[in-house]
Amino acid sequence: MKLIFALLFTLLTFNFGYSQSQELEDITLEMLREAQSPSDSSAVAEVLYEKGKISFSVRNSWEYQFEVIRRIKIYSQEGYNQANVQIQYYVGDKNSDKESVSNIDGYVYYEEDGEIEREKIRNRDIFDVDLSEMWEAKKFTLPKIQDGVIIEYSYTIDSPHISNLPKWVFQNTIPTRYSEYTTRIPGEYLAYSIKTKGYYPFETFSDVKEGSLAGFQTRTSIKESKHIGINLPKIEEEPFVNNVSNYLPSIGYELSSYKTGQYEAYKSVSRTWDDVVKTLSDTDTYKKEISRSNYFEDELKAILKDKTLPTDKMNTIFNFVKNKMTWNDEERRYSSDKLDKVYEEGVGNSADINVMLIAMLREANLDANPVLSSTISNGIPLFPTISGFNYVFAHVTINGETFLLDATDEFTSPNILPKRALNWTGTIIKSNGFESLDLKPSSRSRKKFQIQAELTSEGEVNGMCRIISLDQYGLESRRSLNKKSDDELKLKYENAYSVNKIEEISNSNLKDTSKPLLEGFTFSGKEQFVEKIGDKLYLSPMLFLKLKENPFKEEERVYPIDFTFPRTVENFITIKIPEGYQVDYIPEKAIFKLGDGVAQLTYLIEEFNNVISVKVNHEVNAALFLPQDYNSLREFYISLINKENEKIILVKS
Amino acid sequence: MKNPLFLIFLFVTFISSAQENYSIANLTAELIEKSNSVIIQQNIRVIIDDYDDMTIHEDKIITILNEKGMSALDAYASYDKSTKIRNLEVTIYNALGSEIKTFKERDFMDVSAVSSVSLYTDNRVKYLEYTPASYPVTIHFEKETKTSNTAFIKSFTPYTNYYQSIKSSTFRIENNSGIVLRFSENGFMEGVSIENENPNLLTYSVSNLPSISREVYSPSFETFTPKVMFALQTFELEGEKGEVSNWQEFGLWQHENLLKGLDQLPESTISEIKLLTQNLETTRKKAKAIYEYVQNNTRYISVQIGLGGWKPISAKEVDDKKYGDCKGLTNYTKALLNLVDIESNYCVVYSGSEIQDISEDFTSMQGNHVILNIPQENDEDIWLECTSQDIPFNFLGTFTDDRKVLAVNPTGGEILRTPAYTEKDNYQKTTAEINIIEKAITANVKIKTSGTQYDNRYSLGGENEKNIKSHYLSYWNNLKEMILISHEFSNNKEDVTFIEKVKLKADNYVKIYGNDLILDVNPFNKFQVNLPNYKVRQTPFNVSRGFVDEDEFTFNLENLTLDTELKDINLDSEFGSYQLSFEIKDNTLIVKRYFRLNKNNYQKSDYEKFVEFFSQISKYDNTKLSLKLT
Repeated sequence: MKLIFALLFTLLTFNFGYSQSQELEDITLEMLREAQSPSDSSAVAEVLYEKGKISFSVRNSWEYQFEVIRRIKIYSQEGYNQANVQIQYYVGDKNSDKESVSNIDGYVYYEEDGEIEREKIRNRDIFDVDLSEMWEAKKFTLPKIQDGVIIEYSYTIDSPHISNLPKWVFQNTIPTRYSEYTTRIPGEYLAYSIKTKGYYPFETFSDVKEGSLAGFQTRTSIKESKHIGINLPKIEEEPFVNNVSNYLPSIGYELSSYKTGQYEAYKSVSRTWDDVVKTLSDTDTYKKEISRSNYFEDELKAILKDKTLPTDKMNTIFNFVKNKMTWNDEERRYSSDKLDKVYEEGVGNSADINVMLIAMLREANLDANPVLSSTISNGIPLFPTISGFNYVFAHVTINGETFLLDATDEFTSPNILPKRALNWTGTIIKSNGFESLDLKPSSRSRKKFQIQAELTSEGEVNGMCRIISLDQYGLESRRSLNKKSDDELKLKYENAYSVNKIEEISNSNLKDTSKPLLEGFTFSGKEQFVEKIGDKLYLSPMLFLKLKENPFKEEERVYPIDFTFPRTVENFITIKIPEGYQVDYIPEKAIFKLGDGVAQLTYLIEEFNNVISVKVNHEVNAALFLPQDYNSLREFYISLINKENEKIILVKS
Repeated sequence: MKNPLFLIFLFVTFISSAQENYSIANLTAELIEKSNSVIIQQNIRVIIDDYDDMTIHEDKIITILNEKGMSALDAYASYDKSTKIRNLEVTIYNALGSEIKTFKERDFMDVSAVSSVSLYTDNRVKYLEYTPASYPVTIHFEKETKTSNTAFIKSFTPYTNYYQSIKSSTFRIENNSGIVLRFSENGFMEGVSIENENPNLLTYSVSNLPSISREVYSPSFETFTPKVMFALQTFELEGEKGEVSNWQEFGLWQHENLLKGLDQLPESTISEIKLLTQNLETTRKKAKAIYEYVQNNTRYISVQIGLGGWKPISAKEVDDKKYGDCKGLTNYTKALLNLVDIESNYCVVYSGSEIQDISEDFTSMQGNHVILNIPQENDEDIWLECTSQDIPFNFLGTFTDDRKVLAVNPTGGEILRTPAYTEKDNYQKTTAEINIIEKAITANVKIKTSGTQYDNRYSLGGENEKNIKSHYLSYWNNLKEMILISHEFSNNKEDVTFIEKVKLKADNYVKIYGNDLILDVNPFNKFQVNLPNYKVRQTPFNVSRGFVDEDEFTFNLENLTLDTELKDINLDSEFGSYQLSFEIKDNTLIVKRYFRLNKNNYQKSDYEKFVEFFSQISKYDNTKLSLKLT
């Protein structure tokens, strides 16, 4: 876990007295005439300045105001869409939940006849749009956009949701020269815990002053914190990054405690893991629903009738919930409704299904507890916060052995969680406390390919292939095979392996996740496996199992390489060569190792009695690689591809 | 509540008779095969009571067989100022036909219908969010809408989704308005039973239609499945009344109601345009200067309010804001051209790389995009796409090529056809000089493209270094270890050609096995399309745009000798032709390649030959030679 924290955590430097904070400068002709970004000549636009400022007021209750101003330079046509602005805000379904947007202002600055001109956005060009039941947006586009213009817009959002201040990301899809997030927090009343992460650093300056608050009689001390990021490059997209937002420099504030009057005691919201556990345990989901059993009692008794072993009970309940319930694709930490209703409907979110699973496991006297976590799309939680969690699944201990169960996917098995849940760490909530849990799989997921083939003297390769998939590979393959007709499967295999003639498709254990998934088919092909040049035959010993593309084409890398789970793939191929031919050249055996074996290729090949046997294993023994290891990883894959694409030469004997 | 008993009675019989319908037990194997959903029974009734009063009633019972079928449920209703939802209701039944859930209008999500390309529209949509607990599930969807917009009347198109079979579907249009209702049936009506009692009561029904699978190179549904279009002679569009019976009148109506008076421009722009064009002699030169002025000064933004869905914002407003949608920008360009006495036609078209005509023999509101046409007396017409800031003058690309459009002008409407690209127009010439250095090659490659191939390539000119690099890495993905050394582009908008000059190195290009050096003769233009083998191809197919590629690769063979006999390849078929030839000259090997893919429509029975043609070319494009060191 140390590694992960080192990756995400940039040190906050506290520096009182001296501040690098910048104010908005007046726009000059030089700014308008700047033709490209000084830091990135390919930039289509650039954030010159952006600032978000949070301050508090008391009306009926605490509220915050979020003032945002952003100034963007447009360099070329590809950057014109920066002038299309959408301001999202939450409306919820209660009046007291509603946020509001005010003070929208937008300008475009341009040069005309050697003078700086500016045009303001008109109110009637600002549109209201519903994004969903809960969210609305103000939308506008700025007029007179040309290469070189500078746009500037500002707005204020008023919000009653002080439990979370808006998250600020210092990096954008275009380069950013200056990005500042300032909070002014009345520390006598409100305390926040701060979340920060990111791959590029930003700095923090804090100062405590006396000040006044809107709607407040007396002056109080206000802690002003400025978080400043300078000269940040644009966000890069790279393969093998599960969620780039994990690496973006960003900051979040979550309310940890508050009081409403000067002489009241602090009310804690969430500060430590204990607080989070307590807060969560107090909710309906983790207090009532997790221990309610009346709605499933009868059915549970029936399915457990002949079961005595705890693991049998666990597996029976797990399979029962998987079959009974359908996941509605919603990743949630709280149940959507009373679980008896959800149970009856058969559809629910992750909390509905997995909390129900825990309730049943407990009813069967198993030691089952919820694991709260954050899915890959939700990003990594770093601080003890409720909002960092968006997902829950089950943790079971039987005779000291632990099992992780997630019943949202019909093909998961104990300890094989769906990929969305494999997001570094989770937290087990037990009756007597909590425990952090490493979710990065430590054991390798396995897949085996076995091919038996024969080369005819006409240059055709006919053979059969068996594929055995376990662990994460089992889950992956079951999903891709599920509910597909033979025709669809044929096309799927033909596509995946670029082989034209695939027949006799079969598979077994699709639904039985306790056994390895087996797939099989026969194939035949000519040119893609064996080429005739002159009188010689050039045969690809790995047939369609050779790796064709290097997944790491780019020469440079910014972010870590996330394989999500360690893996090993074994290939075993035998090819019988035709009568009248003999081997003229056979590739050399080889073992390539990355570092001390964190990734490894073993390539063994031999010919005996006109049969060529090839054994090739790939192993990746870590889930995560650092960017500084990228070059060697890339080199490793280049050698691997070259090796796997080598050929055997056959000549007439 | 005059007779509550009667009401209840009706309700009960409805449910009990419906249940039989809802059970999936009586679905035949033909309907289920390759289907994700089955329309068990669909009744669409369109009732026209006046030129501004139309009610559409849809009653659909659909069985969703699996998850993928859910997208074909289409449980939504659009509405706006002139279209109101009268009823919206969904009932869910399990596989046995018993009711498990109902949704009323208030249970539907209500959102604005803003797409990612438009900034704003006042159209709204109500849709149902529902995840079935298991499949199959049968869904009864009822929708009734009432609208004053009669310019668009729902067409009869039984097939609307791939992988959806139809047990029974009926479409009835009832015209009580006394206004002439016109209709047009396409040429694929066999299997449709038609009951036209009188010109104002038309009924179309189909039954037991199997589902259609999505197959490669298949044309749009309406080119091989039934479709009937309808139009009223007198109609309304967002409060504007129209009365037309042919394209001439329809064009006139559009001009009068949607375009007229929107061409005013401020003095400053008028003088700017006059100045810009004063020294240009020909219409073509003037038009080009004005087109480039529009490209340099505006951008595309879509805002659709009320009639704004059809009516452009004024030229004056585009001039001021420097943005507009296709209508606004086209009208603006037209107004600017007008200043220098160039007549042009505002043309309504169906856009998209899948070619769709404005149906010439049926006058009705059609199209989804507009472009500009400048008639030329002794030359081919000029065509302008006004929403792009970078495509060349008089170049439409695959977005609006080769199709019928409606030209709208003060004298009326007429149907025109946009230019088509022939195989030879869509031309690419690749030449390369290649040196072999041990296992690596270095090469100077030049690629010249025109026509639709230009359309695919010219945007490279505006890309950043990183994207250019990834373009070549994927364009030449046969070169596993390519290093891009330099590149140079020239975009010649005058004759619409794009030239790429690329220097590169590819490691491990030459494979060494024992003493043999193996050289792939085609490093830079491999056609590797692996078409799927369907057991039985269901749909016809077409190549809507052909092309011609010519290549010349010159390998320097210093210190190397050829160990393979060279054989030229010549392949000719109805789908196109392919040649690969070799020549040894002064220690160099010259490889010449020619590939023409014909533009044509084909019967499904020809598909196997098509697959074979592609696979032959893939094979020849991987031809290899053996070399030896000297």
